[in-house]
Amino acid sequence: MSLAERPDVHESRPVDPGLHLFDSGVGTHAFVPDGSRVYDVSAEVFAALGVALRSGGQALDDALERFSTNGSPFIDDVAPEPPSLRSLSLNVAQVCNLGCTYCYASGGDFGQPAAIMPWHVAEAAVHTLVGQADAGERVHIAFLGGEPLIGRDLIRRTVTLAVRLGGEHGIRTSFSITTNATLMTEADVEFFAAHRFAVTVSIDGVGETNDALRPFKTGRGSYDRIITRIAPLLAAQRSAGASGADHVTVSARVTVTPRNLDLLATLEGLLAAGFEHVGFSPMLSSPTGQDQLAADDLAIVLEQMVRCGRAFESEILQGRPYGFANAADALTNIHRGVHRPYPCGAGAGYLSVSADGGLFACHRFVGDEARAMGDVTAGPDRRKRIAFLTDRHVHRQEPCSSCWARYLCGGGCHHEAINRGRPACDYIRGWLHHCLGMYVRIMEQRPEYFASAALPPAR
Amino acid sequence: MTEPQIVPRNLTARMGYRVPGNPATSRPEDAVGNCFPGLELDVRNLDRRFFPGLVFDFVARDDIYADYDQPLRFGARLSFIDVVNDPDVQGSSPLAVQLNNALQGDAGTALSIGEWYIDWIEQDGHRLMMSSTAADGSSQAFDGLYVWRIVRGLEPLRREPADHDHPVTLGMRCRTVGSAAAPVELVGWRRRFTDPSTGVISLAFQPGEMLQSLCSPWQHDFRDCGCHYWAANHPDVVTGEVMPGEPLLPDGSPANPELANTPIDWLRADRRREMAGAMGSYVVLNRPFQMDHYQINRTWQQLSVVIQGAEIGAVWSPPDDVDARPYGSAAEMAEVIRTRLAPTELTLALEYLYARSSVVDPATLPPDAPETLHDDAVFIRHFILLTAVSEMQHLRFANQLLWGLFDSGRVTDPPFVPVLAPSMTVPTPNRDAPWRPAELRPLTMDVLDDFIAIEHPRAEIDHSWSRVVATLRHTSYPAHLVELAERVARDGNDHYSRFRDIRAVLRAAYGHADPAPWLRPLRVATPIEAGDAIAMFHVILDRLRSAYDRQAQGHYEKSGPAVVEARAAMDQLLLASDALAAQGLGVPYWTSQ
Repeated sequence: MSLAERPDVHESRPVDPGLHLFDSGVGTHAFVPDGSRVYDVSAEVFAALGVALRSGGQALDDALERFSTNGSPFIDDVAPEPPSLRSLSLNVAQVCNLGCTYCYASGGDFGQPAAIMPWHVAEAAVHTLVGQADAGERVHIAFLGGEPLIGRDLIRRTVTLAVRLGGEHGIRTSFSITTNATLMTEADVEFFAAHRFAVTVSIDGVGETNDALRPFKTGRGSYDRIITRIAPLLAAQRSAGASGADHVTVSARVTVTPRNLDLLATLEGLLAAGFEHVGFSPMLSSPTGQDQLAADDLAIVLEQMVRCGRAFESEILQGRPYGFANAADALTNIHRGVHRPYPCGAGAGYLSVSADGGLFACHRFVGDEARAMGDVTAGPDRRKRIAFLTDRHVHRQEPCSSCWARYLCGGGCHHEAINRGRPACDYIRGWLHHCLGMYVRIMEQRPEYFASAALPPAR
Repeated sequence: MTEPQIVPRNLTARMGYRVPGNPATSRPEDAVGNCFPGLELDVRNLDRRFFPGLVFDFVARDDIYADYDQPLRFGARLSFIDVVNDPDVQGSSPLAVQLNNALQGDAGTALSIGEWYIDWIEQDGHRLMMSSTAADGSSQAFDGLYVWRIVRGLEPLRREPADHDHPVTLGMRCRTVGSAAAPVELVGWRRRFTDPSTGVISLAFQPGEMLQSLCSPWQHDFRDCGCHYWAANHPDVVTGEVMPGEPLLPDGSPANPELANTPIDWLRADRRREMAGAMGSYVVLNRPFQMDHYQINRTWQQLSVVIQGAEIGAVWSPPDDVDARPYGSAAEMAEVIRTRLAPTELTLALEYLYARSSVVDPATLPPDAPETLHDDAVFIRHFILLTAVSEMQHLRFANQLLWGLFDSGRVTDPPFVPVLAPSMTVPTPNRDAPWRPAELRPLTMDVLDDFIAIEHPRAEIDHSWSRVVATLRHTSYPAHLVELAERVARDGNDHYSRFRDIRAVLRAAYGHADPAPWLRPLRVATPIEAGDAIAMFHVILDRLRSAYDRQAQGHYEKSGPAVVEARAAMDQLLLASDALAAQGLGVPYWTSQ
């Protein structure tokens, strides 16, 4: 079945940017994009809204008036003033020991000569990040690559410096790393735990599925090596809760390509392997075009995501945790009514540092001079950030301006949208449509999943 | 009651929900609390439920200086036990289960009979008694507000499990006279009032609970509130209503300057028009003439609606915007601001300052000066100074608009450069000669008429600013820019009104006296004669240039010193120009003359 033939894709197609209707099975609902608001509406109102939605014009305006919040829209056309920098990613080593064919960093070197970040760049980056934060604020440093563990010493020095500077200025620091895990040592795990790292392991499936997509440059598969290397990490993750002292969270990040489309098997396999969270990222734009998803593939991805979502829902309704990160994140966002004119913090609170000290809108734009945002010594270039945020505002994107999902999706990854356009809108809407229904069902039957206000609090 | 048809479900929907029947002004963003944070609710209502499952009243003396004659009444009195509606007691942690059992068991039964008060509170090994021991050995219960302060000091629950995180033990004692009930101890925790990640208030609080005990408008509070809480919601000083048929100026204000400029008391008891006198300058003077308690309770409906400072009796219709046609493009508007409006604002500030220095110094009047001249000179000099200062603010707003347009990407070329050169021409209302040269002139009646014409609401400057406002109202511009332009447009009316006031005063007092008694001889000094003042003037321009440059780059905090220096230089310039004027010299702000 193609995407267009799927009933959920049909139901979630955009009719008007101001309203989306859905049936959760336990009731009928309106989703108002302005503020990402979810309402239960009676069957009578639901029918009337449906008529208004189809006829448009004044009838729809009148219908939407019932949801008016008596103020200006939650999001206007104007790009926000760039906030102070909250988060930097350091591309520690623009070189990698794996040879994943779809890699956005083109084998880790971003299509440019391979480079290891020199210490003075990392040092300046930490000073810039901590220097512009105020006491009491939190800053975050993410270590990326290539494979960042190739630059292990730099990571350690960077963390030590950031913790020291943060301590001196009353600024809280947090760290994360995205790694292929093949170089991870027990000493690394101890270090990550001591500094409460969030560790994301790139892994594309169980056994051969992963090996076909994530081989070493020699062609040999990486799965067994990953599993061996992360054993201490997964143990640290499990033991951390009890003592409450050193804490590390471990997630698996699965890049979805046409060659690993059995997502439910991957999800269950990786959860069984000991990961607390597993998230999927569809590969929509690879530098070579190889292994990127075509329209027909996306129909399968949606089908699989919905299956994973059903497994998640079933477990949650029975009161058991289930680490399907895409569903958990979507539910949190829907519950909070997250609405934003951007898909992420790129160019705003988040910038990425290249090995030679350039600042870029995000890690995927490293080396792209059109998205350069200053350098670590002089600090972020405010005007370039303004220009980027102005240009990338979802109100300026098409076909986003006519879509009900625009403030949940934010227009999709800037890098993918710029390089490949927006081929996955039906898929994204179909998934969000499913999540909206799931949200209402879980809230109806297991409200405590969202009731962090009830005792004892979640955090 | 029918089933509700639309029910908000997620957090943003709940936040934006308009409760049926509540007026729009009941939303937090419309609240007085915007002016007086914290006055929108009584925080004691949070602490009433500090301990899960119990609801207290903090019984306090009305007057904290009153004698402490009923000690058993005061303190934290248990109002009622609320187990069923309190989600915090429904938790699954061992402590929550234990508390729930206690409240539904013997402890709860005991607490349901008689008057129970908190006797002591213990947390982290510290036990505080809610009473003191008097000299004769008797126990003196603390006042309720004192207990409340102690309760506010408790550490709230921070993390799971509740059992290990600052548990709170309450000792409860029955104060019913003759009761033999044994004291009750309960172990719980200090409730978290809001969710740490979403800020949503605990569901333990019932709708309306946060608002109980607040003041009520339309009652004595409206008249008497000592902290001026309601003053933010009701006008104090207004101008009188314009009756149908009374002549108006183009901006909609009354042509009769007395009506336009006489401040009257909005709460005045005598509502007859002929009785509306100018109000006194402080509260006590006006009190006897304001509605009294019984009046405000019974006849508050007679208080007028006020729009733009004036009372309105009938249906109000807004005056037409004066031909406010938006500019064709952001670039066109920026060009007008850069080349015409900003320079003209500076020129006017300087023309006004020069004219001010031609007015006699009230401190050095000869003994035979007309009786009212002292007060009139004070008044005129002050009003002109206010207007000049306002023009300088407009210069800054004009610059801010320019850098705002550049910053937001609406104007890309040329880049922002501070505009700090005066215009050498000024628009006039004369169609045949729409521009006159900028001139430094003493404040003769003719010059005053010219100032009034310049500031007229339909004159060129106001017209241009109206067009700027109309342009910036489009949503594609950053919202704060239009507020700057609106401020300038509104101020223009004030300037116009002030100059007319000055003219009314001078005409009434001195008619067409020649020479004009309020003037002193003045000629434009040479740059050498006025060296100090000119140097000061250039310091002002230099510091403003530096401040605007920094502010345009977003470094507001770094512009502070330059702004402070510019202001200090403005004060010095004023002193220097007064010293020169005493010698018959005016500051040559420009040298074309």
